[in-house]
Amino acid sequence: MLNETPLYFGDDEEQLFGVLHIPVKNNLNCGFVFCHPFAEEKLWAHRVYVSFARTLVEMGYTVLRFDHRGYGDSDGAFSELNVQTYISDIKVAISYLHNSQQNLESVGLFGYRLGASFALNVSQQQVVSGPVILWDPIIDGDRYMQEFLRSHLSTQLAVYGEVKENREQLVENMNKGEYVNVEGYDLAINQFNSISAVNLKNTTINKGRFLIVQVGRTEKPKKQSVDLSESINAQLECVVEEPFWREIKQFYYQANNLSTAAVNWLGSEK
Amino acid sequence: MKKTPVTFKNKNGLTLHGILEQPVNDLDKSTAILFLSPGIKMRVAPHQLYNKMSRHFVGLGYTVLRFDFYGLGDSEGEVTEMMLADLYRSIQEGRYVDDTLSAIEWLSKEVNKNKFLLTGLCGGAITGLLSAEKDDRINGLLGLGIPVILDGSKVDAAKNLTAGHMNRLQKGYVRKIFDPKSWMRLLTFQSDYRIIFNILKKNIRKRLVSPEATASADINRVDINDNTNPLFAPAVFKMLERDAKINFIFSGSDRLDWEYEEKFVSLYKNKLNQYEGEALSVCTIDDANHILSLPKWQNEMIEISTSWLSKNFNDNQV
Repeated sequence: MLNETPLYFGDDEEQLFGVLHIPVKNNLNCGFVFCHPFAEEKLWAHRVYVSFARTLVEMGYTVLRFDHRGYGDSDGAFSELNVQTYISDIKVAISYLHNSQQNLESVGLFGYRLGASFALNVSQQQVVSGPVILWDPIIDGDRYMQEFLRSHLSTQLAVYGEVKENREQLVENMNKGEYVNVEGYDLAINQFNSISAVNLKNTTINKGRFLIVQVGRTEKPKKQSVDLSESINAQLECVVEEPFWREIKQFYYQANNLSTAAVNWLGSEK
Repeated sequence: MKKTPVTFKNKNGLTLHGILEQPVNDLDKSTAILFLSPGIKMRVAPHQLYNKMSRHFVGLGYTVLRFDFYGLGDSEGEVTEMMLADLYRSIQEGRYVDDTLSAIEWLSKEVNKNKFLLTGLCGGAITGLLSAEKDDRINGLLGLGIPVILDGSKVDAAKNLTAGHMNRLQKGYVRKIFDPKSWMRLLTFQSDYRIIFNILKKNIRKRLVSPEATASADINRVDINDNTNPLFAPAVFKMLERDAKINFIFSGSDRLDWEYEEKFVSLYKNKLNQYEGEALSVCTIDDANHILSLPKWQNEMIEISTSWLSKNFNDNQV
């Protein structure tokens, strides 16, 4: 028996869609706001996300999953977004969860991929009272955006048989005020520049409890993950998973290794 | 547009999640439109394609329900398939027909509609077609990139390529001859050798067979029995025979277009003639990819859909 309520919250002009998961037993009075990944990664990873929410609820946590503006069933347009709008949405979701569930003594954050980077960003700007779980945070935004643009080149190749515009030209088009359509997402220069500027290498946070779970083909920690975990005083776990945030041959219903790392850490935190 | 998050039960008691979207103006068409999820991409579809379509259709006066099948999106239930291709196959064999019928039942009670049009991309389209066999209240199907074949992790896709798909792949390989990265892929065993082998085989066969024999034989013929979905043709004709309307829209760069032509139309040409243009409309959007990622392709698809809707489903609720 699941207690899950789909709802709209936030600004009347631009409402956010969310699903509120409430534990039916062993309520720990601690909540989590979930911060989803970027563009189509959100859809590929969605079921893993839902499964992880249900795992936390089973443990007694309250969870609010929500769609950022311009995503899923929320209002707004993707083309209008930038890092500030993502961060502001997360803050609105935290407030909503606090206000609607007054039993909650603390609210933490869970983020995945770029959602993890934004969760960390929020943790820098305000004290997050609960645990912060970061799955595979995007540390270098510039590199991530370049990879995103590469999908545009692949589409050109598939459709026209040649690359008509390279990455530099695509950026130039955005600088002229045009959108660059990547996998159906209209990317504008504001969003492109602000995500490109995301760089977690120099992040320092003094307060909060953080878990970083690095995802890779081996369990060997990468230097950038170690550096980040040291700079924010986070526990680092390294797990092996397939890159289920994009199209792969397997159907990922849940990410057991990621989930177990987070559950164990939360267990040790209690 | 009025948007309401809704939940309802499927036949097995699992809660399905959806968004009900209704016009706020005086327009209220008697037909409701259900969007059926494509593959695992839930009720919004890739890059929110369904939201974009829905906004337009609600603007025309239609009530729309977009919802998630069990085990996908936000809905309850589990999917146990480990491979995507096997999940796709189960969808192509009708896995979500019952969920669709549950949604229709719920809609008919909640919004007092008794005519339904189903729409969807890929897996959503085939689910719509197979559902239409089971409920006569479904009087229209707007199918985007509908698959005619059955996927599956054990199906050898290379063996079942259509001639159109092979020609396109061949052009791609020819272009890559001077690309060092492609040679690297080939030499490090990352290329799909079965596809390359099949293309070479086809070309060698073409050269060996005399022009006379080639003229008399259909050189584009592929073994249509291998992976064609046996449920597809009967479901199409069942809809057409009861005068329900079908609009198939394909994407010009998508293998599904060639598969529809070579594994369905070429076999049923005569039978299809009597329905074409009236009960059955088929269009292809030039160059478009499977997910209709560019706005110009989306606009063309919405334009075609709108004109088909206004021709066939324009009556207002009494």
